[in-house]
Amino acid sequence: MAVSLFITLFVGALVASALGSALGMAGGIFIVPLLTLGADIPFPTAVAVSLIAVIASSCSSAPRFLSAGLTNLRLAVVLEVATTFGALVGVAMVGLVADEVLYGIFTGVLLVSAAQMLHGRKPREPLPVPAHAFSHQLDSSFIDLDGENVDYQVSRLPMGVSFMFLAGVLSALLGIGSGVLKIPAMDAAMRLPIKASSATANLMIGVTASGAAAAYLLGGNIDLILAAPIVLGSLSGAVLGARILVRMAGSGLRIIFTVVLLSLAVPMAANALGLGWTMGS
Amino acid sequence: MSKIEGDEIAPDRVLAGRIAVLMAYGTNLATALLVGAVIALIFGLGPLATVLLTGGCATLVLLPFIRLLMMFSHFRHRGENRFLIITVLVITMVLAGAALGLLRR
Repeated sequence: MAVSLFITLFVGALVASALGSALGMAGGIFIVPLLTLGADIPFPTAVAVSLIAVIASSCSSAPRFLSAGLTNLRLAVVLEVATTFGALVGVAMVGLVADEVLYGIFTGVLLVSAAQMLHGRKPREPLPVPAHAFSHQLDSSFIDLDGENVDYQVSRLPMGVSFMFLAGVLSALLGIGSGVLKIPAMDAAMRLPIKASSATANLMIGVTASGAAAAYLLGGNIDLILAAPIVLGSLSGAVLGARILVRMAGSGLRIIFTVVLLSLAVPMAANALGLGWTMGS
Repeated sequence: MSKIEGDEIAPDRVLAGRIAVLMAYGTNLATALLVGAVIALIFGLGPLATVLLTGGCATLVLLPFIRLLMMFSHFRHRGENRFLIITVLVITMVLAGAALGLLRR
């Protein structure tokens, strides 16, 4: 690999992961376009490398959420039944879905993510849950920044599980963390507090992607040389995003994020239509 | 706070702390292996670089799996069979994903 390409991929992954980390995403949504459009890497190769980067970003961000008591481990493992099953289905579909279709789905994910970014995340009122529902075993609490204890319960678990299955399929097929589905599932469907939702989704990303990533790794389908700058960039970016960019995570950063997402949607849509758009074309 | 929360949150916090340590040390190890691989590549040590790259990527893939094993041990120790079964289901599906990759080799 040329030094210039190594540096480009490292910096690109660093920025992608830093932006994603500041806004509670894993950054895969930027890494796949970076590889396919920027470096002319085939879509399946980009997905495999992005999955490793997504795991790196998740693992790197997890300690601060876990230490702060924000991550709901029981809810995570329950939802992971759906996400890992979805990922298994996604892995089984690899090679059966044409690249143009994958580009098309990716474009849809970019557009929906841009809309979610503009709309922002707002706290929702909890819904009543039957007294003996299983989801009460997932109820939890955390201490907020002002020292107040925040108790919460999990509403509409079946709806959340359905969203998570689709998130798992998308994760394995597109190499992303699937925040596009996890965020509405946890915020809107299950009515979790945003902090608990972000922390729990972040932890789940690792397990969801690990089955698919292991399939690619054991199948010999990961370009290890390509993975080095991307994964190192993602690890550095996750730390940078957590420490620096999170202070700027207001409306300004959301607008920048939206513009980038929409800008990426155009060439990805062109590729979906078979126009073969890369940065060099 | 309900009885379930009072009984279960505190031990879960201990587990969360252990997982946080695993993730922190694990990502540091993966970073070290990957940086070592880049240095090996610079010095033209291709085979060593491949070993280090594989080790770095495999470490990252294994971290979430080890977290599941820790949760399995936690629920088994506490006799929480419902969550134990759920964790086993997740572990099985992650292993099935890996097996699918091996079959396609």
